[in-house]
Amino acid sequence: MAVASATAVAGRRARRTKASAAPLTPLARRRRALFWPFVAPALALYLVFFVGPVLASVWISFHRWDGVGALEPRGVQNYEILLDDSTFLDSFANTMLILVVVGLATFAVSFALTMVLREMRGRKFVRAVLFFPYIVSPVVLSVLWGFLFRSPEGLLTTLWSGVTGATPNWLGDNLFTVICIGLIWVNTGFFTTIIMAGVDRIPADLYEDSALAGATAWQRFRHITLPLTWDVVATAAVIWTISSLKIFEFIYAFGGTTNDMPTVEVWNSALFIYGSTFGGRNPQYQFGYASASAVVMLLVVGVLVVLLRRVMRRAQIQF
Amino acid sequence: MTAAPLRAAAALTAAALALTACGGGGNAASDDGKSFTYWSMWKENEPQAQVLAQAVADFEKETGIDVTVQWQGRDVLKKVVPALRGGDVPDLVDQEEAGVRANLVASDQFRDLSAVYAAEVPGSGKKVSEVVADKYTGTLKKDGKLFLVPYEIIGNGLWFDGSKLPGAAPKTWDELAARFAKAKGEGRAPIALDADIPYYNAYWTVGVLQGALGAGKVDELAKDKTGKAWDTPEVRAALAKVKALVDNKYFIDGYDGSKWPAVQEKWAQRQADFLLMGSWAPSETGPKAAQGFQFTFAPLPGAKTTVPVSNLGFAIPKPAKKAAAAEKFIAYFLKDAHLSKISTTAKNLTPNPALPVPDDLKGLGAALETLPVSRPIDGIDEIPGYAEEAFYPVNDQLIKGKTDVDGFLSQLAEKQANYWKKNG
Repeated sequence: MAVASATAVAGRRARRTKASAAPLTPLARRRRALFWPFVAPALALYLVFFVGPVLASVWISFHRWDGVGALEPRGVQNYEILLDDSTFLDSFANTMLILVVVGLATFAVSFALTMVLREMRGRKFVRAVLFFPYIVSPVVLSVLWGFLFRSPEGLLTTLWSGVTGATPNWLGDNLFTVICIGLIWVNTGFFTTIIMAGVDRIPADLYEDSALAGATAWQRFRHITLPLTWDVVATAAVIWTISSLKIFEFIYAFGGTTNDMPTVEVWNSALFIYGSTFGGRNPQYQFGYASASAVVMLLVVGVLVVLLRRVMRRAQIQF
Repeated sequence: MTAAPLRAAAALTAAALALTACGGGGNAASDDGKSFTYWSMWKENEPQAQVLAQAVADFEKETGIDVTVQWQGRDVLKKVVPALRGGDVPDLVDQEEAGVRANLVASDQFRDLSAVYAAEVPGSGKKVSEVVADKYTGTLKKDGKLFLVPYEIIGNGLWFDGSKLPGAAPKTWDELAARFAKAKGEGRAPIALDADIPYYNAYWTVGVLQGALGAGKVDELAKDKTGKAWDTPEVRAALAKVKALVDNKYFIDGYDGSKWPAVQEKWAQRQADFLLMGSWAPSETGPKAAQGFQFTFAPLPGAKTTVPVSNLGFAIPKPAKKAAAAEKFIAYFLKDAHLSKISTTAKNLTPNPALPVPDDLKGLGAALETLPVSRPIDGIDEIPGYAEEAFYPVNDQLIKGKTDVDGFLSQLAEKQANYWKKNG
């Protein structure tokens, strides 16, 4: 550790001295000349396709716009209405519920699976199977889930009533819960794979050593696996935060039908944006209002990611 | 700024310009009357598409006008809207009137088709306005301008198997309720409903309300900014009838936990007596129907019985460059030879009462001759977003037995007020 930080400090000092030196070496000059030609194409694409639309959204969010006619300035009115709109607030609550509850459950299951898989034979195969739902189209999955959960003839419903004698109405009474379970199932494979990649780096002798010392499975997890995969988990958490706010297809396809959006009770903010613009039989085309909600969500993502990174910041452990 | 960043900025600007130029797609074609583009709501394998494709082929042969057809499917208008803002707008589109109203008429992006109505249907000696029954064009105007020429009519009502439930169609709500009670007593499910589709749930509630209040009244209630206009004795009485259907367990078991089309297929298998549905019911459930199933129609009875109908037809977006040729085709398609195939091949009703009616739709055809028409769910789905955000969630609860009349009224008032606060 000490050695590593000493090198880092020395490196930084070296760079500073290099920068302050007035005449550039021929190599540095050529490097400098090549800087923009290399950066420009990527930067241009990024500006045009990412930064540009984001700025446009911010601009549109201060207007009323049906997507066809002229923009009608509205000041911050869209934002005022948004924060008082029960449809948006409910969608926002669902988004947060998915982020926190589905997120925690996904990570818990992923860790549990990782612990089981670590010592299992044929784990590469199992890992591939677990990853499978993640690459299948959510639309296909939602159809499959419809077959599983519909009442009274769904596969799972029949099984459930065979065991417990009761016929639950999954889709009618607990649609959002079923959607959350579906999301956990879809995402577990992906995060198990990431976490396992982190766990695979941990030298086996650490586990052997602790096992010899009499550590329980929980203690091994608590004192070896978790600390040594912390940076992986932190990155995965950021990935989840960003992707969870964008979840759309699974809810749309599972809750909706050929012509209609899912019921408003299961909307998350992505569906809210779609519902305010193109969704439904007769779309609302409220691009200004939808942009305002998109901007709010962008800010929320930003704040959450920064907070998460602060909370999860730990000194990196070298091994 | 040194030379390098300057060069970079120049390159960036050039790249950005090049990219925006791609999006423009300048189309300077003028109306030479020799061609036009048609985006259709049908997919190529649907019977309506086959009828239209045949008409297009004949039209091209007879007039020499070149037609480019794209079979876009039901989302056709959602693809037209972005094109309205500088792009290649099709010269002719077709869709259900509600969709045309929401996507083209609301933003004044439609062409007045009065000239088409005044034009002659080639070879018939009749004007288009004489071929299309007046009954259907009442809802197709905005500020006196006609925005749609219909070629297919869909109507809503009760469907049942005429071979198993003989006798005259129920004329009053009480007669219908008695039939439900009888079916229940005999161990059959009276009503089939795919309750995962909020639009179908609304058929019941709004249908009963239309029967009690008359056409267009529910639409007025929906437009009340406070949402409190619903709370009247008449509305309460009608909602109580709907609630009674739920309380008496008249809806088939599992109606609220299934996935469409499971329940309507059960109906076609004679597991339930009635289905409240549009005139596509026979063609949609036909392949699953039990042997000898006779699709029979009856209007949903009430004190003021109406038949909810909707027009499917042609519209022309305002910026269309070759509108004249497109208008010519509309009139051409209304020729008996083509329009009748909507009935004989596509098995649907046409707006021309002189043409034959498909066997399964005879009852609907007869009802339309005598009864006044209304709009499906009284047109509240045409108030963009209103049904999704206010009416459907509350109505779903009523239909699924999770709320009562009071709960329905208070929740709807709240959601409706919220809706109009942001859309008012």
